[in-house]
Amino acid sequence: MSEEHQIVAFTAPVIRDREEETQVRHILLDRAWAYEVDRRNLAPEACTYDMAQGRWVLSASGIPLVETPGYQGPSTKKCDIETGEDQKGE
Amino acid sequence: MVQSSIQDPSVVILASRYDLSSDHVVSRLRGRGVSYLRLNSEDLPDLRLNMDPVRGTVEGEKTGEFSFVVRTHTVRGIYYRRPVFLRPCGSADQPPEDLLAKEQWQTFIRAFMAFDGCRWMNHPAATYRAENKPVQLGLAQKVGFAVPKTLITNQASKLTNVAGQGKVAIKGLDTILLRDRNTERFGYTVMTSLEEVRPEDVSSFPVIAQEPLNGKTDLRVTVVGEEVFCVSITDKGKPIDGDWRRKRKELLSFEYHRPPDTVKSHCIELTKHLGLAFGAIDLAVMQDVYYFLEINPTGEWAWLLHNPGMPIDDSIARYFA
Repeated sequence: MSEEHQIVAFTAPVIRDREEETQVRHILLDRAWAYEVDRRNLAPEACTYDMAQGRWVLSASGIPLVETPGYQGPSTKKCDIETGEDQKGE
Repeated sequence: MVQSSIQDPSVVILASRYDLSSDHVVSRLRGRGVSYLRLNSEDLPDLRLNMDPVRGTVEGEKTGEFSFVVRTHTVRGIYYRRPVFLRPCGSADQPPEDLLAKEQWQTFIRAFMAFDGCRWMNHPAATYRAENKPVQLGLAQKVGFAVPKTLITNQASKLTNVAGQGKVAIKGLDTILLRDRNTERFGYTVMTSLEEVRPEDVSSFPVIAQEPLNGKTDLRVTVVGEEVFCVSITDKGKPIDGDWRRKRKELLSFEYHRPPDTVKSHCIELTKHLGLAFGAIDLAVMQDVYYFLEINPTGEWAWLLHNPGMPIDDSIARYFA
């Protein structure tokens, strides 16, 4: 994708309204929920990814993260990351 | 460091490192003694990989750490947890070379479709079709679901055709997601009155407009093969107007819901008709009528494991075992 294309995606069409130029954005963009993207490390805290096991384990004990007593997992269907479960927007 | 080697796994998981749902499935597969290989898109550039699409083999190695061999004739199932296509959401900080590499790796992952003699959850081609909401809605009606009055349009004056009591629900034809450096915008369903929608508000791209279901109770139905898990989503027992995802999660209650057998059958039938082994279906029940809203072939389910407690991970592992 070119940089020019990216800019277009965020530039609202300009509509002439009573001889004034006003920025009008599509209703789904205008009312979209805007939030800061957390670009910190996504790795679970105090965990290491074990490539051979194919899962996260606690660095100190080697216990699989999701088998840790008290582990509750995500609390909403979007795991609090709104790009969704399959990272559609990556 | 001792090198681990995985030879001829029965199940291949194609995921992201940060997909903890796949961790749950891994635990269940291990518990059942099923051999598996998990490949994450983030890890692929660090591996030396060779795929022979004619012989049906994939070999990979990370020197000194990890190696594997996958063969078509020994793979029983593929658990596919990656997008079937990348949405252009406008990341301004990605050089074209990075995007090209990402697309090429994405295609490599999809190349596992060459393994066509095994079970998929879900096959990317089926997911691609099933993610199209108009396809879903038409099929849902055919299998017997009630479907809200729906119109796909970029013409504001036509919204009245589906409005109820002067209001209309508006959503995107596809996921609405835009990224601009550190800010993302995510589009939920917009509930609005007709008079608030100006022609220019919808003219630049089409929307799905539906009659609002006032007083509905939201349901999430997760289908795994022939198994159905259903949960109601309320605001501490009260119905939620509009998109429940806008609610603060601590206000939401998730409880077991037993739908009529006909509704369960509709869910299974819809999933099968779409060629899916897994589907996360959003329904709304109002005055004992079950309305189909949408199905997500890649829907999340790990949030249901502990609250209210649905063993969906085990059901997925059983599907492959």
